[in-house]
Formats: sequence, C-alpha cells, structure tokens
Amino acid sequence: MTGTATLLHHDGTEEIPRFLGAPGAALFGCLHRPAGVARSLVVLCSSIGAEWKYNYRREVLLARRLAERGVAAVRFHYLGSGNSDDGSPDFAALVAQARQVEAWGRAESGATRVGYFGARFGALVAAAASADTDMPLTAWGAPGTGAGYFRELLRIERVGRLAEGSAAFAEAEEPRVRLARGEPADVVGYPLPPELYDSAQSLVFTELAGTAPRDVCLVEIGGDGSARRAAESLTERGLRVHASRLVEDRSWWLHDADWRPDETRQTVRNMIEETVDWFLTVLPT
Amino acid sequence: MTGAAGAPPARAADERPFYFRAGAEHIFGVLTEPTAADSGVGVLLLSGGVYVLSTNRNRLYVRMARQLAAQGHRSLRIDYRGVGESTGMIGDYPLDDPNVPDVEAAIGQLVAAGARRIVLVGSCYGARAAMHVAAGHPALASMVLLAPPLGDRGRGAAATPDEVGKVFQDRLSTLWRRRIPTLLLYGQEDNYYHDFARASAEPWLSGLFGDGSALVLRTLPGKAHGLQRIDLQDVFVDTVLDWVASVTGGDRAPAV
Repeated sequence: MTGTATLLHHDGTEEIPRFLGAPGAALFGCLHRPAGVARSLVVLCSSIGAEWKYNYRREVLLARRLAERGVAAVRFHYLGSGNSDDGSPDFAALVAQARQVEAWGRAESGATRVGYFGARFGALVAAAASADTDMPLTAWGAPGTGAGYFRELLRIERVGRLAEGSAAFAEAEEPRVRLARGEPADVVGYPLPPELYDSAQSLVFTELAGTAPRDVCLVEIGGDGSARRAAESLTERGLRVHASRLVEDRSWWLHDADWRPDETRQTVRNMIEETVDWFLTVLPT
Repeated sequence: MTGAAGAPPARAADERPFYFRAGAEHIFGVLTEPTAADSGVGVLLLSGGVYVLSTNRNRLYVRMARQLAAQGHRSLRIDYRGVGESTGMIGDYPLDDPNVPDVEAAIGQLVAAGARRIVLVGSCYGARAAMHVAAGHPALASMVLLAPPLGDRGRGAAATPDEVGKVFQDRLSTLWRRRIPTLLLYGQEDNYYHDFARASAEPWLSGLFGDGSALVLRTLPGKAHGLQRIDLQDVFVDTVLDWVASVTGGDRAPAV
C-alpha cells in the first residue's frame, strides 16, 4: 500500500481518519485540523439512514471550511453505520458516542472550547450531547420531536414503496409491525432498530437544546416554520438564537432523480458559509 | 458467521482508512485485511452513482468486506473523487468514462498491498466502472456486476437493442473472450434488466452466454438496482461471497 493515513491539504489543514475505541466497538472518526493552533472544535453529529448519506458531502465540506478558517472539526459514524463496528445503539448510546468523539477531538486538536453541529436527527444528538453546557449549537433541519421525526420517516417509507412500484416492496411487512415485535424495520433499505425508535419517542428538541443559556443557530430546511417556532421557544428560555432558512423541496430520503453535486448548489454553499460565519462569531479562533 | 477455516469476520480493527493519489486528487479508501490465511486475492468494491459512498447502501460493502476477510481475501472500498471523504468534484457519472483514474489507482493499491489476483464487485455505475477499467487487466480473476446499465449515455437506458452502448459491448465481449468468470445480476423488475432482456435477442449478446461461456446471468426477485431493501442487500452479499469462494478455489462455511 502506498497511500497515506492523513490527508494534508495545500493550505496546511489536515484530515485524520481513525478508528476510535475498543476493538469490536470502534467508531470511525475523522478530525479536520487547521493549519495553526486550534482553540476551538466543532463536533458534527450526522443524521441516520438515507439522510446520513444525503448530507454526508455537505458535512465534509463544512468541516473542511471550518478547518480552513481556523476551527478544528470532527465527524464520526455511529456504531452500526458507515465504517464503524456493528451495533444497534439507542439514543443515549448515540449521545455517548458523540461525547467520546468530542474527547478524541479535544485531545488531538488541543482545542479547549467546543461547539456542536447536528443535521436532522443528528440535531437531537448534538443538543443532548451538549445539554447543560454553554456550548454553541447549530442545527440544520432539526425535528421538533423524536416521535414526529419517526412519523415522517415511516411516511417516507410508504411513499418510497409506492414510488418504486415493486410488488415485492408492496408486500413487505409494515415497519410499525416489525418495530412492535422488537425487530428492526426496513426504511428504504436502512435498518431502524427498535432500541433507537423507542428511546427517541419522548425527545423534544427545544428541551434538549434549552437547558442552559447559550448561542444557538437554527437553519430550517424547507418552509414548515419549525425553526421559527423553536427559536421562539428557546428565546423565551433565555438563549441567544439566530434562525435562517434553506429553501429546498427535496426529501433527504428520496432524492436521486434531480441529483447534482453539492459543490455546484449555491444554496448549499451559502448554508455552509453562514454556518461557519456563525461559529466564528461564538467560538474563539 | 465464520469463514472457511473458522476465521471470524474482520472488524474495524482489521481495517485501515487511508488516502491515495489518482491524478490530482486524493481518493479515500478503506483496506480490509484478511482474518484467515491470505488467499492472494484482492477484491475491489465499487459503489453506484449519485453520491453513494464507499460503504454502499446500508454499509453493505462494509459487511461484504469483513466477511470476505474471513475467506482470506483483502478488499478495498473507495469513495470516487468528489464523493464522501475524497477530494475533487464528481462529474455526471459518465458511463463511457467512469472514474477511470480512481479505479486504476485503486487496483494499484490492492496490488501494492499484496494482491496477486483481482476480483471486482460493482453495482450500477460501479459495475460499469469495473468493466470499463478492468476487463482487460492482466491480474483480473473475476467480476460480479449488479445491474450494469447497457447504454453508454445519460443514466444508461437502452430502450432498443440499437441503444446498447459500444463501450458496454466491447467490455462484455472482452470478458467473454478472456473467459473471465463474470456474474451479471439483475433484479427481475429492474429497468436495466428489461433492457438486457430485449437486447438478448441480438446474436452478439446471446452468444456470450452460451454453453462453455464464463459469463453467467442470474436474476433476483424484485428490484435490485439501488438495493433499496435490506433482504435484497443480504441476498447480494451472500451471492457475492459464494461466487468469490467458487471462483477463487476457496469454500465458504455455512452461517453459524
């Protein structure tokens, strides 16, 4: 093998992919280290299933941009997903994994101040992992509740079956039936473990995010007014909230027909720049 | 599940994430080392288009790689340029020029890691990339091609036999001429399979799958393209493991 374990960019930033933790329960993580001293670190918490894949490149681009501007960033794959070892974690385990990766990122980067980022379901993880602290938090498309998120997900599963038009898909067992039996459901080719489904039912984003005064940036995906409502709730709790909106009408689960690279989407580039700019206002560099 | 000699599947600890150069870009890959006696076979796993990562859908390539390790095979899965962890920007996934430098460099990495014989597994666009780059490769031992599009343009539809691409014809004919054991898999409800069925009336194509040919066509129930059902993913993984075991002279222990 003639490759390298670390990617060194021309601007001096580095990407360091590693497996973290005990054999058999190792997480895949990637640290983006800036060229100079990193005083701050952002922990990126991805969504799950097809949303994980949909937003993956955006999170890579976001982490690269943070590093270019002097902020370390760390991304990771939950157990049972991506390149990590097997597992069927519940919500508390996802939160623990985020904190494990945060500790690794702090140790490797030397950063002393930490912020969290979460996309869709990952916003719940990020909010919980940073609860009861003053860590800045950015959320893209945060669901209002865990129960609502999974209702939408199972609706998308039904739409996906109809869109495919396959007799075999139409005859497949309803996800709720399998979950009720304590078995993983198949959601458009991704497993939804009952442990995660059950443990996320009572989650409320504003309750997780609003446990202590801090800075929060909410980016709404689409136009359902969720970010405005969350912003009002968090402001009432004494948090400093910045809210904006990305107009995007594609489902993060069913999106292949009109695909094109994120690098060519001006709205995505704007969302990344806005997020980086916001972190730079609330984190030391 | 264990491998032929009772070896366990690989885990993350048996894998190495790394970057390698392909032209001006840095391609990200994960190399999985064998957990059984080294067979000398290297398996390159190529995903489809539309930002599909090296893991493929629901990390089925991670599962496949870790089980291939128990057969003694090392494997490499890669993010094409502009996808996942790699640098650069992906284009329109052109079927007549499918990420050639990335795949060539990936094969080079497998050889550098110790592989003497190469097997390629590709789904959709990845199947076309595998055929395109490796059909004539001297170290090629076998291929598994899931739902390869027949056309050379756009998303590869070939509504009539006339629309079957020249590049597709050339690479498939090369595999036949070289007697490379090649498994073509389609879902019975795949549009690409319907294209294939129509084109099979043409003598050039039907002749490639006759008696004595090393090319094998199998169909799976439902839609295989996109791998949008977990049970179908499992069938794909099992089919690949059995095929690779059969063509590399190994055997595969039953699931335990």
